[in-house]
Amino acid sequence: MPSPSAVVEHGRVLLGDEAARRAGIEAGVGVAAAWALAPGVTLLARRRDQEEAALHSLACWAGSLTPRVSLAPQALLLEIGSCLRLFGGLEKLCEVAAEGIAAQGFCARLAVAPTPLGAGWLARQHTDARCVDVARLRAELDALPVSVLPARAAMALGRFGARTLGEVRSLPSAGLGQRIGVESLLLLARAYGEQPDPRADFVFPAQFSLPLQLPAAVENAAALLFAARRLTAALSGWLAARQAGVREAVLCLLHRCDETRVPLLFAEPTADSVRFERVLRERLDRLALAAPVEALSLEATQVSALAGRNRSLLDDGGGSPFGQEDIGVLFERLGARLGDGRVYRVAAHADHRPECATRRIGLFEKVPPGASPVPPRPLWLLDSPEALPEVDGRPYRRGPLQLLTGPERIESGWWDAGEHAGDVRRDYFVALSQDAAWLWIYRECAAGGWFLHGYFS
Amino acid sequence: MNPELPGYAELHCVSNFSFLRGASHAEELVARAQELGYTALAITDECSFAGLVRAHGAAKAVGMKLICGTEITLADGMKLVLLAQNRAGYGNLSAIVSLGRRHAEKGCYHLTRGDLLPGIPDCLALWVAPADASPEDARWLAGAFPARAWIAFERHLAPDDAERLAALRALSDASGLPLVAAGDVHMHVRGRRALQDVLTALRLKTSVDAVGHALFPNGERCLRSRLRLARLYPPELLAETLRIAEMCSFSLDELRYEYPEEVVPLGQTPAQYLRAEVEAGLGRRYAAGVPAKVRAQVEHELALIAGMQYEAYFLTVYDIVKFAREQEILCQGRGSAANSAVCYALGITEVDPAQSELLFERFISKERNEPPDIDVDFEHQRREEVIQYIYGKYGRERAALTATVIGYRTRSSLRDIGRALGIDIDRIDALTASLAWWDKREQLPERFSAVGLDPRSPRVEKWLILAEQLRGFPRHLSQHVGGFVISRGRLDRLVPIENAAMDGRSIIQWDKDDIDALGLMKVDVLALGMLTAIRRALDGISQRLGRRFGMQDIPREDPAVYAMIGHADTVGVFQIESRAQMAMLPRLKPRCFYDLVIEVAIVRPGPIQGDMVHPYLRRRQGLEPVSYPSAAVQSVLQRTLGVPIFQEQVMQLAVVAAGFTPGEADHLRRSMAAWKRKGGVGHLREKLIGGMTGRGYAREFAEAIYRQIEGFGEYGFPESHAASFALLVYISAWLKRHEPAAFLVGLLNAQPMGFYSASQLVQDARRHGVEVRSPDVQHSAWETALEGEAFSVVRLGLHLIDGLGAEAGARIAAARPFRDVADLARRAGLNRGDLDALAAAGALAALAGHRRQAAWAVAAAPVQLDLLQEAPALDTAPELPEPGEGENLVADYATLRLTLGRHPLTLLRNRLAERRYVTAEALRRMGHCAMARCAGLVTCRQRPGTASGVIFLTLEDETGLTNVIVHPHLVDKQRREVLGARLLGVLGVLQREGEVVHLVAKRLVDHTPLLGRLSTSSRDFH
Repeated sequence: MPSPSAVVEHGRVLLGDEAARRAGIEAGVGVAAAWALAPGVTLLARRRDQEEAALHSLACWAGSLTPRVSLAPQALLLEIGSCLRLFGGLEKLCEVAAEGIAAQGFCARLAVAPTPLGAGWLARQHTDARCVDVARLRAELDALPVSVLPARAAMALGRFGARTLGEVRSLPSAGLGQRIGVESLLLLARAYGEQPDPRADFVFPAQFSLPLQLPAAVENAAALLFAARRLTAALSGWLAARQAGVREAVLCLLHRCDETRVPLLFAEPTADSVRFERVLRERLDRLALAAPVEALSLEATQVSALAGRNRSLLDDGGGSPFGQEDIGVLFERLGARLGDGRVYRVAAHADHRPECATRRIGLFEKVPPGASPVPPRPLWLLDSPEALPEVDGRPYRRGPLQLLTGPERIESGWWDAGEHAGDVRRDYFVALSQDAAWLWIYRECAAGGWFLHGYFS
Repeated sequence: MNPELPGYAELHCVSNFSFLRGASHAEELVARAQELGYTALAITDECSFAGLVRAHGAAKAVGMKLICGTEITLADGMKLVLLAQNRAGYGNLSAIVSLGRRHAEKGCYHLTRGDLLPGIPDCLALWVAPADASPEDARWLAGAFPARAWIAFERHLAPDDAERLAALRALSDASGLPLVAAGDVHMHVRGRRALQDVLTALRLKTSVDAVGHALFPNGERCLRSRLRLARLYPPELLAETLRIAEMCSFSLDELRYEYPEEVVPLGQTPAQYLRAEVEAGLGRRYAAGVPAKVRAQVEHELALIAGMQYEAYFLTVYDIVKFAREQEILCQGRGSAANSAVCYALGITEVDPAQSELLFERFISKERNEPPDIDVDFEHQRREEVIQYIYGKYGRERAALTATVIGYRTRSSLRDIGRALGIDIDRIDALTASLAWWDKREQLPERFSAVGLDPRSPRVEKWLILAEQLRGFPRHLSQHVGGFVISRGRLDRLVPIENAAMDGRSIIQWDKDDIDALGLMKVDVLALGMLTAIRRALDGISQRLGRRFGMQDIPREDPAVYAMIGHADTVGVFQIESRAQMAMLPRLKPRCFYDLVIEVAIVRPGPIQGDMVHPYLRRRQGLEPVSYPSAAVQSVLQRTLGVPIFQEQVMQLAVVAAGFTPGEADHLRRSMAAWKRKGGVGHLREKLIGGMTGRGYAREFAEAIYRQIEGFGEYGFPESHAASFALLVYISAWLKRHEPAAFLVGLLNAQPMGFYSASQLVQDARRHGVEVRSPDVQHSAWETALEGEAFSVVRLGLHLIDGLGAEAGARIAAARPFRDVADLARRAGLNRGDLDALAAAGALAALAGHRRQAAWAVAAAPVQLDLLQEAPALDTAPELPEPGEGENLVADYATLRLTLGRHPLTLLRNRLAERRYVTAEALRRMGHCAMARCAGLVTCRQRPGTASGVIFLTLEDETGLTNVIVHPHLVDKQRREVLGARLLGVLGVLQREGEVVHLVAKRLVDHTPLLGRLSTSSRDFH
């Protein structure tokens, strides 16, 4: 990740890394100001979908700590009362949790409290509180600022001169509900444990398939290992919660246009993250990347109960989006045999340049919306145009060619000169050869010279 | 040019005024068509005449025949090119374009076949028909334009060219509409293909690699050589273009502008009426008799006006000013013609020709056949009444605002080209953000490197080249700040009128330069905040005196006023309140009105770059002798001690010293700005310097004058403007000196305006002994007002409270006083937001106690919106502790942006003193070169273009303002402090020149954290 960098939302910095903070780029700074403060800063747009995905992945991982996990907005709630002894006490459990999160490259704020809302508020306020009883919780909560409450209520309370929750609770509660809304009073009661606060359990997905967007394209396979660790950690949590093991999983490396699938095979079902990592390392070490990787995904393709028999997920008929999983398997095998990118589909692409008018797309990629109709084009376009001699001022290919229609002038593509096909400037003709073949030929506008570009028949 | 090739006239060609379509300037198209030997060129921008005047000028210069037309796509998809045959046809077409534009939102048009019926007389129609066009459409067109309609065949080397030609031939045979060749030209040369593709992508809001088939497949839509055209089109189709061109004889030169006639009463000639009104005005102005000098001046001016037949122009301005006076809207004219004796007599200006030694040479010159120029400033809050009066009097068909062409500049062209090339928006932002201050094109490659873009990579290279091509392209039409064009007949038959972005405004499709070129009259109806402030202050004084007190009641040349100005005690005074002006005042020490005229003009980029400030000061202080190289030069420069300060003087020097005619001199000035950018002013330079040395002036003197003209070209300030402004300077300074309370009321009610915030104005007034009271629902009106028995105390208005609406404020003022908060909420019909704002601002102190108690009280008050809410139970208020001084201060700044309590730095003074910072006041007592430390709130950051990278900061503390100079090397080193600090500590060296004190920074320390939650703001880099 380049540094300094910062995450931006609605034109304002939300969070900066250490180097950004040193340059003065703090929460609330405008984008233009950030550029002015550190011209080299990398600004990343906030991606709520990715935040959610990360939380989801962490929830899977948390299955390795407790079977009762719950998602809260931008937070994860773990019910740990029932598993304290398993881990050897609160401190030990907190340590395991913190290490597990850090190993995945996340930074988390932990707090422990008897009420979910209380724990959430304390964590968000960076208190590191470890309250095991209600009295301790009350003391900790009393010191929290009113800003933990909904913004409107917090603003109103600020106007009354109340800064902390403790001060709020000393105000007459009858008048207070009328002024800041009963919802806020209810929140307070829940946080303090005076009202029940049931939470919906996180439902561990029936099948494991988790994507991970990389913050920047990665070009070396070994560097993927660290990122992939998040996925394997989530997988082992998910397996733990299901008391299952995996025999085969596929790590998918997504490039800009295609993807590389790396199968991970295990001799017997396992939920052991150390084994995952070892196999992963072996596979990645030997992998030569064809293109930079922009995202990863991990899919458990064969899962079975740890004590039970093997069961292929493909067998129990979930069905691929194509409804033709056999062909899918065939394509997959073909792809594996022939090599990456050698099995593809062709789709029309809106570009005046004939060689750019089609595009290879992955087997399961969505076909882009149809390009507008184009003039007649030969079905068979040569990979690279074939130069034709000129005899008596006429193009020649096994005899002089007769020009039937044309010219159709194509001048386009200047924008990717030096990167891709580049600017073409050609006059195209349909020509009839001596052997009655219909050819598509062109003449270079600038340099002159005839070329054969395709066959109509 | 090869005469054997068939002749050709291009009849379908759009310029870059067909926004995001045309990829060439009209001038380029004309020049290229001339080069290729075309017989004529039609400019047919899409439903627009905006490019015509430029094309006309260019065509006239090279002797090319220009045809005026427009391309229109009707709502049903039929695409027509309409060409004007003569003046009547031009007017009809202009009316059609206006109709289409006025029926749609800004930037769009809407026309149907019905709008074109029964045909447009004196216009020709070319139908750009598709291959599958229906014979019915052809019959409709033939009926609407009998014998004046064609089918255009436009060949661009598409694969179906031959089939299309055959189809159109069949259509032509069936309908009797003849075929003609046309080019659908979008660019003057093929080389603009890339730019044209970019424009297409921008129009479709995408990038060139994603836009696909919407791009033209090739670059054939350029002006093609006649050789190529001869190969592409059948000869009879080319010949037809010449026949059509022959039928179009209209030239923009035929447009005749006529002044409106209703400004003259029935039965009088404009000359008689003007004479009568001037005489009546002179009688009012000079009760004791008209001075001989003024009489002679009036006669001279009236003769000039009569010679040029400008009476109606002066009477039009007079009519508008008269309306303003009747409505008691303060106004003042300025500009070359405004400070004439005639305008003084008519009440257009208050600058008395008897009292000043102003020049009227630039007034109107017979040689320059262009309309006189009068700008009139009105109170900014009431200018809309004047605008609506003009619309009401002349109608929307006869009056409209001038357009301003908003064009691509370096930043915007980089931004759009970057977008079209598919460059990450972040990169583009980074690049353009870093360009904010350093807008120099030569440094662009460096800027690219600085944000991590390699200027030699293919895409970045294209980015640079295309951005350079796009720069200067028009992007859209906007409204001029206030330039009205008014005509005798229908204006929309002279130039199309379209809707402006602002509701109720309409603009013509031509800008200021266009109407100048065609000799149309423009009256500038401008808005000036200071006039509002003065009007409000005068109202306050009248209230106190119990009689009407006007501008004319203010005594002139009051020494006390000049003494105050000489001490740079000018916060709030018009023009001379800025940092740069304040630094000049103690040096220049103005002692009379004319000194103010000089003061207004001298602190400008022109005189500063021409290095005229210091010579003038030295001569004024007697440190340097005043000398003139000749008597002729002396006559021009005597009143400014031999140093040219005004634009008029520099022009006059070219006349008396280099033998230019006045017209040539003015031409020189106008050209200078344009040529300076493009380079190559060689021949004029030689003419000027040669002329002067030939008349016996030293070469050095000649060179200096040349440099000054160069500086003045862009930034010169005319004496006529300076004189009008100086009068407002004097008036506002008098108000500040003698009526500071009324003046503060005027300024606060006219915000936002001027250089200082409300907070600074209030602080300054309090330092001058004005009592200011806080806003309070029991006492305040919506606006700030005077109160007390002597009307000498300022009561801040509810308008200063953030988040309180004007209607709510008015209802409060009408229903005052109140029994309690509930009474207030009910009778003033307030909503929750209004009440919260009032409580937070402390405006309920009299009703509900301190801020916290007020907040508690309003939080449960009944408001209009929740009718269903039960009446609140009478709850007892808890004993909320009173907020501390710090909390009140924070609340004051958050809700009023000012405080009447102690200045925030008073509270921090101990901590600042620990760090050995002194106050602004203490700083002012220190000597030159003293080492000093000062800290304050940053209230202003400036980076003047004339100061080569130096940044000026203004710091405010409880004793006043400190000016800090930060040199570029320190800016580079301490960017973050310079840009970000709100409370800044400066360690530096004092620079003193008389009373003028600057602190030159050596090191900057950011103390913003000391402010805690206090929100302050700064005016930066405007």
